[in-house]
Amino acid sequence: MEPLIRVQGLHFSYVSGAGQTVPALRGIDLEVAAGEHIALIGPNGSGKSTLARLLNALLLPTEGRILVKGMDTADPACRQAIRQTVGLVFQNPETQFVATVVEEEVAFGPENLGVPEAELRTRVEWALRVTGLSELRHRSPAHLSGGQKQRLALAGILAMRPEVLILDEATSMLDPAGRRAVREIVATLHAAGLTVISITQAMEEAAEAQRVIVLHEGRIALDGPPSVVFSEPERLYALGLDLPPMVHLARMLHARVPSFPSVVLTPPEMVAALCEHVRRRTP
Amino acid sequence: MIPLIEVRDLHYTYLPGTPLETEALRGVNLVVYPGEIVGLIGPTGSGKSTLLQHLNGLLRPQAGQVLVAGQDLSHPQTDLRAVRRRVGLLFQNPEDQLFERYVADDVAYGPLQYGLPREEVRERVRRAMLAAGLPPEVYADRPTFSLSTGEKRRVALAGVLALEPQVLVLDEPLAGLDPAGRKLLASLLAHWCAQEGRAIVWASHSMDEIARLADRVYLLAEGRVVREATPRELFAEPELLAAYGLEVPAVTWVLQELARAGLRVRTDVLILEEARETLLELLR
Repeated sequence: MEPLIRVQGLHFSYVSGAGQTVPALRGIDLEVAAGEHIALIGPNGSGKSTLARLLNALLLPTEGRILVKGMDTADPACRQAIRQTVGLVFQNPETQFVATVVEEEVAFGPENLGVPEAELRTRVEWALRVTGLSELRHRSPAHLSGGQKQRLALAGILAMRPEVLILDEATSMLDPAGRRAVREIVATLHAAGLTVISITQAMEEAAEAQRVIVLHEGRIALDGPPSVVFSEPERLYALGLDLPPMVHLARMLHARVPSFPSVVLTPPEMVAALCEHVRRRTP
Repeated sequence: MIPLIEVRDLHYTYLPGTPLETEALRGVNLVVYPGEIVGLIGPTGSGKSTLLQHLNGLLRPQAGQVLVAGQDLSHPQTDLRAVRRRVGLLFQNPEDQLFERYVADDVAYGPLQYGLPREEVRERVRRAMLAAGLPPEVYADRPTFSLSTGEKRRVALAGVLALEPQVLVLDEPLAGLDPAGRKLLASLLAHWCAQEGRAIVWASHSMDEIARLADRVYLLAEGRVVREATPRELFAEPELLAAYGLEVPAVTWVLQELARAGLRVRTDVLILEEARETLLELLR
């Protein structure tokens, strides 16, 4: 089956303020299948955000190519369809709000695509409901809280009916409740079939993905399920990364109690593993 | 001990007398003593940023008092520029505000604005860069644009340190940094704070950070201090935190869940190393 996204021999260089060419990506080959939930991690400056912008044709490859559902991002005729297919949510969404009312902000994208009125209404209603903003539809975006603004940005993208959602550190400035709300919305959408690529510096968040891709100096250093990627602490430390806290804890316990698993990814899994271990030991 | 900062019954309202009037602070009391890292947590809109801006005189109290080393900031005769040298404020993503072409020039900007002699400025820049983990011989002449996010943030920190403040006020200092960058900056800040007569006010949405680094915590909600406690006391109250949309650190949550399931474990654990001890007893 043709993957949803295919990246082949991708190189990308920026031109700095001083006119120098700075390579950001140096040879990326990657396939993303429909329905995957991927965490893209890597140290600051490793090329994560650049890759995200290339995937929805905000930037174009210096070398190599990117196909989204077979459409080449370098082909101007495909650009609109690609941006509709791959939605991108950034860290500070308010810098991009254009409308003065929440529901108009959500309608802005699809309206520009010429979505017919009836369909537009359905989409806006759905996006507001999914993100829990129905009650705030007549508010001004400027008067929303940080978490609400981020959900509004998400609603605006969802109204475009994307097949891939890329979150570029979208929850890093939110309070715990705001972060949880966005993560739950994304989990629901993923369960309904949306492909999700989440860029994050929170290892505990990466531990919840199905696949973890580690970028380092513009190349893919590791790519696999979190249980495999996070079983190589030395490698991760060398890349400026860390283990998720639960993996740390599992390794500490495993070192002294070998029958305890050495990889436990999330807090609920840790609770279950500990209960299970105690139950098995007590007759 | 004399507090470095004392906030008494502080009130602040944005756009008073207009339809957009918002009460941001409704009677906040807070003290910061030398030698401590004071954590400040609270949901979005709790008034944290408004409070931080009062601590170095960016905002003047509308009612109540802010005392910095005994100087009352609401007093019209108080020299706010002198206060800002004593209390250094580092905003969120401060690296976005670097503007000089070379690192050392950016760090020197503040002290030069205060009209300090060149020789003194040079020495301060050197000390500040060292404290921010930027050895001058490596970084002084580096163009700021060529640095990583973590390095840029430490340049911004050095710019504040060059004013030689006694108190650092930090708003999400580690957010957006990679794990290695977070670890380095956290240890530099803790080291800075350990010198005599200094203190840090550390606002964060990361409960793990607060659990690991803060000596005392203020929980702010709806413009009021809801609780002042040590992290250990505070995180023993998961219901209180949940009521304000906050949470306990992941490791604390695990142990509290085990206790709810009837297992005998310590539930006041804040960091992994503590969890390890009590869990090994359970597993043995």
